[in-house]
Amino acid sequence: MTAFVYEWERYLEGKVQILGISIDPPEEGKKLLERVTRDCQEDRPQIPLDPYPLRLLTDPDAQVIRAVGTANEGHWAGTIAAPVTYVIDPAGKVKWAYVSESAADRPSPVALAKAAVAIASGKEPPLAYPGKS
Amino acid sequence: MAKLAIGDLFPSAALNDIDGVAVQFPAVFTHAPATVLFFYRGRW
Repeated sequence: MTAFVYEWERYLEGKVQILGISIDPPEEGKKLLERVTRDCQEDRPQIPLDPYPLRLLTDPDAQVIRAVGTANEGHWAGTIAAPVTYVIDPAGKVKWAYVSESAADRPSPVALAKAAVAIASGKEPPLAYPGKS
Repeated sequence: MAKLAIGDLFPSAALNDIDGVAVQFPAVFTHAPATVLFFYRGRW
């Protein structure tokens, strides 16, 4: 996430909002936001973080997680969100997606930034993703 | 249920952010020319 914030600062400021959805309670989301903010401030102090570009949402009953088909019902912790990343246009249409194999498998920050920049500019994003079929 | 795919419209829904502020879908997507939306647990 910190790496994508760096790309956001380079390419996307003011053009892209970043939303995260999890079953995690608000206090866990605040810890994550504090951790990412601290990492960015220590590593890239020149990046303005006010307002911070990341907004975390809580979905304790997995209402939205189930509605979009990203629920992992078999996890030891209960129903959780599978790690899926979307880029969505202002009309609410999915324009780009990365379905991860695991929590450690996330799109590269550069690829995600390229897709978001294209969509924010009204262009079609690159659909092919290296290493993904 | 199949995952939301490219070309699909995000469903109508309402959630709160970690500060308790209500967020309406899909209206929230009108706030920027593009929205990166990721699902996670614990950390990115």
